[in-house]
Amino acid sequence: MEFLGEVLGDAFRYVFEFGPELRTILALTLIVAGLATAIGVLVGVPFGVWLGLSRFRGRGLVLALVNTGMGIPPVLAGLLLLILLWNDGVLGSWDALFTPGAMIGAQALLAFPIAAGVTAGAVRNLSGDAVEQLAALNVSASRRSWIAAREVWPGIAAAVAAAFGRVIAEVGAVLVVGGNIEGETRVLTTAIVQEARQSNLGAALGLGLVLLAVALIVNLALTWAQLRGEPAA
Amino acid sequence: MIRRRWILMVALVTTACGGGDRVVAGAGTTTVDSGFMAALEEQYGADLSIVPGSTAELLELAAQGSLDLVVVHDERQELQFMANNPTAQRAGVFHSRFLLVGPFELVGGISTASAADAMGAIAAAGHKFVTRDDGSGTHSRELALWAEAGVTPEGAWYVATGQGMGLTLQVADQIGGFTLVEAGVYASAADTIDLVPVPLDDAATLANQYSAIRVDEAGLEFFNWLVSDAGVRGIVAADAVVFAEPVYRPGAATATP
Repeated sequence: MEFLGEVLGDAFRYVFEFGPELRTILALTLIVAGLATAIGVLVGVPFGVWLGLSRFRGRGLVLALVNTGMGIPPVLAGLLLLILLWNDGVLGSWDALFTPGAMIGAQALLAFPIAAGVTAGAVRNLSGDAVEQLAALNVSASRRSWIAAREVWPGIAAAVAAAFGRVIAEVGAVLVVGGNIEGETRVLTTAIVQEARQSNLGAALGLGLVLLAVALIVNLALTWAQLRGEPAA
Repeated sequence: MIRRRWILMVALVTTACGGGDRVVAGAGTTTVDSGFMAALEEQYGADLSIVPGSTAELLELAAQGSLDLVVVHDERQELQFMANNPTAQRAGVFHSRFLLVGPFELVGGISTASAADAMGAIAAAGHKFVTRDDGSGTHSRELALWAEAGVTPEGAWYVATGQGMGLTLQVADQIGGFTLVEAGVYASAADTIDLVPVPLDDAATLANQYSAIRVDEAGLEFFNWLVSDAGVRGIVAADAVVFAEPVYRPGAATATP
């Protein structure tokens, strides 16, 4: 009990001191997870809307692949990118291994299927009437997709939240392709691993609290936006 | 200061490759986990990008050309690497030692004649032993000691973590087992764990030699510094910053590294 109190005390002290190391880690985390989510969402949401609306042979297989992708282990995504990026690899000339760019790439790979899958699910949940009305509209396919997207936008907000939650909380992918370099590629999750390894349990827990706070703020904002869009009961 | 960091990061991110001119050095997790490498970088004075990893991992990355220099500690793997990469350059730069640690109440019952004897006694008594199992220099040394003891380490008593030294040490602490630990990591963690070193008669033979291997031109400057007089002073100073008592000593542990 005494030990727990000590660790908690250290954790809060670490958070409230908000030193340069923590600020650097937090800033990099927000940039990497934010850009990765943005890329994943910009590609994944349109793909999800299209997948939800269209009817073609093999659609079931594509949906199953997307849903499987939602569960891909981050460390596997990181490993695939590592093999591509190391110097003798296909993309070795990019010289991107152990850079934030590589981390964004790996996390975007994780965010994409989540953004696509959750969006497709929301579109498929549109009522039959709504789909019929949409089909009857005499407008271009892209216009129809835009209308459908607006119809299910709380679902899209959920897709953004899920994608961001996934990437900011994952450690496997960024550890493998980022290398956990202090001041360069160390983000909240890999910093937790590092501090725990060094037996700095207070700092590790403090970093965890910061991570939870970021996730909470982002989810509060998205939930608030969703609720505001709901029709008054 | 912070704003400059932000701009730097955004620049790194938007170009998607900060690869450019930086020096990427791999270092054994033991040296990173103990805080020594960061202190050494401070002494060196120029920016290094330090990637922690096991000796096996780092030499693989070095072979792929992704690291400019490595600081590792397994002679067998190092010589193998040098045979495959004749243009690389290798030198013993500093050394520490390994400790065999275990729960206080069990350490008393263990033979202390030699590390191999003690490990044989641990296996015979069925005490838990926690292994890194990650291809690290520490793991290699542990396997060599088992071979010396004539024990094939397997069974419920032999617990593999696949993790770095710090976490492995904590697992050993939590399950009340023995482990082979590098002195620096043990010193950093000693406050938070209950494990104590087995007082071995042959403690001096458990030297842990680190070599720097320069892989390409970008690693040359740091390599030359490490083996220079300034580097020797830097190693001593970095050690003094991190530890109350000397852990990492410059140079080779024996005449033939």
